[in-house]
Amino acid sequence: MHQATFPALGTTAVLLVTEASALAAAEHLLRAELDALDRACSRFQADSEVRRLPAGRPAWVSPLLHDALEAALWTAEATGGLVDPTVGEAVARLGYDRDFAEVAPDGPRVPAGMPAPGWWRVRLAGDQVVVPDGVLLDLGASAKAFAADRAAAKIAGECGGGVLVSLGGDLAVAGETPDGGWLVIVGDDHTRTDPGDPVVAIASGGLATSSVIRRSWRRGGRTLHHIVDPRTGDVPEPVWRTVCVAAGSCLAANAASTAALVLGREAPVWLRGRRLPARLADMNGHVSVVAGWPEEAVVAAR
Amino acid sequence: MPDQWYRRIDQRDEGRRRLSRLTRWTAAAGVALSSIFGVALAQHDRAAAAPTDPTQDQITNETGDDGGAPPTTPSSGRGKVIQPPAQPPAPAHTRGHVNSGGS
Repeated sequence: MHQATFPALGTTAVLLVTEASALAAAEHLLRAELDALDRACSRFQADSEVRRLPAGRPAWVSPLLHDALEAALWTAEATGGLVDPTVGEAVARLGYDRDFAEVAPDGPRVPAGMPAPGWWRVRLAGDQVVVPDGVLLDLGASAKAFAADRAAAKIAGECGGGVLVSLGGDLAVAGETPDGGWLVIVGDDHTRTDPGDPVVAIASGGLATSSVIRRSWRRGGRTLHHIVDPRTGDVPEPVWRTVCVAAGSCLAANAASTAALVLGREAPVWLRGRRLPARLADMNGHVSVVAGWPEEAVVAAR
Repeated sequence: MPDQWYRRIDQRDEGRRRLSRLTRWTAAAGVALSSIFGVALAQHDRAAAAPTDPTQDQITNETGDDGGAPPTTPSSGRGKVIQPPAQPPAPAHTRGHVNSGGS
């Protein structure tokens, strides 16, 4: 297995390829893809394409932003609105209004949340979009997963062999599957491995982990994080700290893992009903698995 | 006898007039209340619409805030359901290639 790792999109990009000769070209493709995505979709760059969209009137969008918007709207529809790109205002109100490295770790109480305006108000047709006045888009819940799927498919198509693209722990695989599958360590934090973290093998599609452990901060004595319930505009009730889901694509897996955090106690039934294998760790570290996710011999509380 | 007869006719006519007035007032009140509730609900929806489960009809028929917005027309071929994996993850008892965790 041949690997490249570099910072991108405010997190870590990991590229694995099965063919050594493909690594340099694959890394070049991945870097170009992620740079383009950042220019199109970043909520924090004033000159990004999404930030420059006019309010309330049709605007032409690049093919990349179109596809990213479509992925975000698909995510919203497929989750019944549990993961909604119109939560931008709510996320900003909670304090996440700049690159996370610049978000103050503590601060005064923030105003009460308001429900998100609703993803269905964003109109996307052909290569035009209308973002209603007052709606602030946040593509953060889907953009990395969308990019992982897109980059993995592109690299496999152009470079051959097997490819795994991981963006902050949300990963997509494409092309040939290595013997024994792609081996993924599942935990709370994509930057480290804790004792007892299980390893699973996947052969296709994607796998995503959503967590309230990282990207968290405090306001008025409350711990806040980047997962917002669109129905309230506030962070969801803390039931799960980490949910990992396997699905037919990284985008699908990420939609489900984020929705599960929003759903809280209803998440296992919701995931099981959709035949989505998942591993859910509650706030005390107790693990539940559903829909064919491998049972763990030791369920550790950390 | 004729006096009684005329008095009953007058009473019947008076009853009909009262019933007619009541019907008109009821209808007017219904229209007014419908308008008030309609305006109130529309304002609430505009200010803070809770994301319920919108149907495809809402997506394609809503005209949008600017009145001229194009409808959303997904073309990715993903369908509307979250596709499960071809096969669930298998347990592995070896070192992993990569980590998946919160970011």
